[in-house]
Amino acid sequence: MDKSVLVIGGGVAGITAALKLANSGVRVVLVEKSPELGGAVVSYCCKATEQCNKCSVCVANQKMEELWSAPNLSLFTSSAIGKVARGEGGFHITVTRKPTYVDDNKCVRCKLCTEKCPTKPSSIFLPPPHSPLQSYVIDTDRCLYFQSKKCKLCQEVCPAEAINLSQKAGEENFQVGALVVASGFSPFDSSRKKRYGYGVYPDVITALELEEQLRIEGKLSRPSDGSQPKQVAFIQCFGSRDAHVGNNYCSRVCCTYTMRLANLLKFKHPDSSITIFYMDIQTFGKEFEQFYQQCRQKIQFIRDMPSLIQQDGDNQLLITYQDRKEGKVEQSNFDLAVLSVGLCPGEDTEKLVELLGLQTNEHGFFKSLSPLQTNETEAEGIFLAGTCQGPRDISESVAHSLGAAEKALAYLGAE
Amino acid sequence: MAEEKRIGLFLCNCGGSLNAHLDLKRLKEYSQGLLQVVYVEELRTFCLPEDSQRIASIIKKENLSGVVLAGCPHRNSESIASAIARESNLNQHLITFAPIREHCAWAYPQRETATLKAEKMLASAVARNILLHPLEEEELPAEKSVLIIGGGIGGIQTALELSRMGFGAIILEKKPHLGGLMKGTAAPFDSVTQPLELISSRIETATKDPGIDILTSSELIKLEGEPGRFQAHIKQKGKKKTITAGAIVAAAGYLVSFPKESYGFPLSERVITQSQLSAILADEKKTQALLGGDKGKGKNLIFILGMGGESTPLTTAFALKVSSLIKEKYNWNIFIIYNNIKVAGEGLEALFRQCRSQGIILLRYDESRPGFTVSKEKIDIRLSGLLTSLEKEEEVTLPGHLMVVEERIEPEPDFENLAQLLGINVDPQGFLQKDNPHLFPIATNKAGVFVMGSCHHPMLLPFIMEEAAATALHIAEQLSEGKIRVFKERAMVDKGKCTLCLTCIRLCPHNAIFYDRAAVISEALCQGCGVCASECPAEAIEIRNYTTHQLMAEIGVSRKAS
Ligand SMILES: Cc1cc2nc3c(=O)[nH]c(=O)nc-3n(C[C@H](O)[C@H](O)[C@H](O)COP(=O)(O)OP(=O)(O)OC[C@H]3O[C@@H](n4cnc5c(N)ncnc54)[C@H](O)[C@@H]3O)c2cc1C
Ligand code: SF4
Ligand code: SF4
Ligand code: SF4
Repeated sequence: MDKSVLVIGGGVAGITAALKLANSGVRVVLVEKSPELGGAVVSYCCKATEQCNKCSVCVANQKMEELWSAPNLSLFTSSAIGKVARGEGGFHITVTRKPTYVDDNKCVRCKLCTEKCPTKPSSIFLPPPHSPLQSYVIDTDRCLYFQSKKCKLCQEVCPAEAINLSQKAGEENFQVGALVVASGFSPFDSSRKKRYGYGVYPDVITALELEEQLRIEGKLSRPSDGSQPKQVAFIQCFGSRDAHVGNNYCSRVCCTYTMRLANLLKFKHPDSSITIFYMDIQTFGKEFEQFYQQCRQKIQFIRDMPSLIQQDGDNQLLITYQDRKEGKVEQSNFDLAVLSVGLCPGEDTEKLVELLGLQTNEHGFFKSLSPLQTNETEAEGIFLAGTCQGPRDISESVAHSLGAAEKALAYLGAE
Repeated sequence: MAEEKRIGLFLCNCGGSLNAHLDLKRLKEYSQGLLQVVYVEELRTFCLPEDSQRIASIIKKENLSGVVLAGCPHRNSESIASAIARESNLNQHLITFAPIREHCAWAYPQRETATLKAEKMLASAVARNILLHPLEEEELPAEKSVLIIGGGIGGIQTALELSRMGFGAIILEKKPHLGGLMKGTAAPFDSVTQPLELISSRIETATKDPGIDILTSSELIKLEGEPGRFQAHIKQKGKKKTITAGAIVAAAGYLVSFPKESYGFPLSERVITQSQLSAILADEKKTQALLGGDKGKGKNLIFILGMGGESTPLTTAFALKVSSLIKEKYNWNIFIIYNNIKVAGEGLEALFRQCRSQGIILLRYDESRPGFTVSKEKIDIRLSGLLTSLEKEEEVTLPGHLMVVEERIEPEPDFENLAQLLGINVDPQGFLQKDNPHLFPIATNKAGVFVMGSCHHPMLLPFIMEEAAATALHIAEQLSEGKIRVFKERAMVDKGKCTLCLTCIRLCPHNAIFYDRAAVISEALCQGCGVCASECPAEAIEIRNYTTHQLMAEIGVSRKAS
């Protein structure tokens, strides 16, 4: 049989599995639905203070770099799996690709198109360096070609012939021997918990938004007025361990990322005071318990899940919680509230499950064959990698996807 | 003086876009005047296959022995260089880059300044290229067998995975039998996994597997050699033998101990550890004797967590599962007293809730730890600041008739010794290998030596199984086809200059240096980090292509050109 594998999802897990398989001599097709690879991690910040705090974010970036020089690999970004049919010699797959107009594999990043574009600002450009998207894009709302078919200057000047303005959605067919699903997670939708004011008060943000802000700006500011917040609250288990929203599981990563973020904020802004509202703190993994003890020295931990976030007249957030020591309801002012969102099943899970003939588990993640066979599924030749199977951090996702690669190799070898 | 080089310099105009920023004609003339440069050409896009093919053909035609590519700092530069190298048979390490696009063209608004700076960069790049040596990769034969230290579930599973991929595995176990900690675990791990059944079936498969050798009552006493060819000296029941292995995996588990100082009272009939309870549960008679009949009527069975440091998902899972089982079958009042409930593992939160709905009482203490009064028939547990009601902090005394205490998970006392033998680090707690995100979790500072499972940090079984697969795959890739690829002479010792002060041996983070009359660097272990070269007081070590001479030439020329 043809030794080839289709990897669905280009997050840390998908990239790792694809790299390992490609380096083992297997032909790999990597399909990612968004325009850029990397998944969730591309918007995270490095959490180093005077020292590296082992968040693994840089490791994910490193993996993406390795991908550029991997052999045997076809990359399909902005693409989706259309059809999957099991047949003679494995799986027959149809991949549909949205038009991107610029072929990133050809683009040499010479800037000519941006310079020559007659619109001001240019309608074809490389997004800023902090953006997760690092290939040239066309803003079709401004581009003259898409507005009135009047201009084709960029396509003419591109020395690499990377631009094709008349590109249509394309369809390609493949045949592969095995499948690795690495479609990742979705962060909890914070607007579902109405009492916390997400989407209503600008200074209630999610941890993802905080990560992104720190990655882009390197410092913290309040969305409402740009000032530097002095009192910051983190609210743990947001959308996890919560039967009311149907998520009867712990997301594993939010305690660790929150402490690393809180520690980083304290380092960047020593005059700020940080409070973490929590139910239980999860410590596991290497050297994390010590890190937690250090955090307790500089960060205030309050054991309660607040019941309400409001905004008062002075543009201050008012958080209502229960002071268990005093046995009474308390209200405190904060400048910023960060919701430590949990990991929920990826948004395409249901769709993929149906397409591939798989099942979900009681929490809505992909169901694995057994609790100890987390890579295997009930469908032969289909393997799971990373957070699509359940909450994991980056290094665990890496290890898990290597397991998936190993299982896929063994499956191809045995055929 | 080495023989003259024939250097080719290729200027990329990036699809014509650089002409506006740089005087490429002048740069071309300037380059032609540089020492040992015999060929100069302007290209449009050297990152595209057509141009790299052209470069390769010119290398052959002009018999070039060095190439400088002046253009962008391409994210693909390594693969471009390797493609050119493959086509032209020129060593990849003789192809270097001068990023004049980002460093000159785009950095200066004036064309003149940018061009001047580009001249300097080109001169520097050529000066260094003249002195570069080819760096060859070499394939050394590698043993297709792996020594696994530790015969618990992690070690056995890794051996099985390796054997399936056609590798030999040797399991070294210091105890007289395989199985490790799981042998004494009776409580089911999840809805389907019975640990005793699991471990015995795995032991049976491993014993029957012709690809797996099992050495019990054995210990490692010395490790020599390098990846591909380690020699492990071992002692089996007093007898010594030597095994050769291509790679080493430490899967040495952990130790549990009762942290008496955190409780202030010893173990007794009334106070037993989780391990003791687990052993009792494996025996129906003993279980009846402890829990059965009327024994639990009106009595309190207490599980306590988090006293000797933070609890772990491992011990929390045990308390939750076992209490739920006991509640089903016997008539004890069950309490679980904890500080942080560790539910970061698949199914644990659901189990936590299930316990609650079964009528098990979960009590959480905070900073104020519980106090104990031990008497003959019971242990009184004083809990303050109970987080059970809206009432103000108050003290509650709970009589305990049987108490199950959590043990502390600790590194084995011989880890330090093992780490030293293997040449790897330990973390501040004493578990194997320091935490470092830049290392893949199972990799260590020493090439060819890996750690997996709970000996680097305690982990739940599904994660151990995942690591076993990852470890096996990683090793299989490195030793595939019985060969291992290494760089030849990446770091070189000048034997005449070496005074054997041992500085490098102490400082090499990868334990790659030995001595034999002078320092000797193992090519298979060296990672080319350069620490030894920068620290050697006698300046006896040089890193190929980063020698002082080469770097000075690069800086020196650029200074002269200014
Ligand atoms: C706020 C926050 C902070 C975190 N911080 C850390 C941290 O500091 N350290 C750490 O170790 N972990 C952290 N994590 C966890 C970390 O994000 C995950 O472990 C990691 O991203 C998992 O990678 P993945 O590849 O499994 O999933 P993802 O990153 O979600 O990648 C999945 C990819 O699949 C693609 N995809 C989905 N469906 C399809 C489809 N149908 N077809 C094609 N492609 C598809 C998606 O577009 C995406 O690119 C954090 C999580 C959160 C929420
Ligand atoms: S990204 Fe994370 S792991 Fe990497 S250096 Fe920064 S803190 Fe350390
Ligand atoms: S990791 Fe922490 S914050 Fe996240 S769900 Fe678990 S307990 Fe809550
Ligand atoms: S360069 Fe020197 S210090 Fe670094 S790994 Fe090699 S021998 Fe060790």
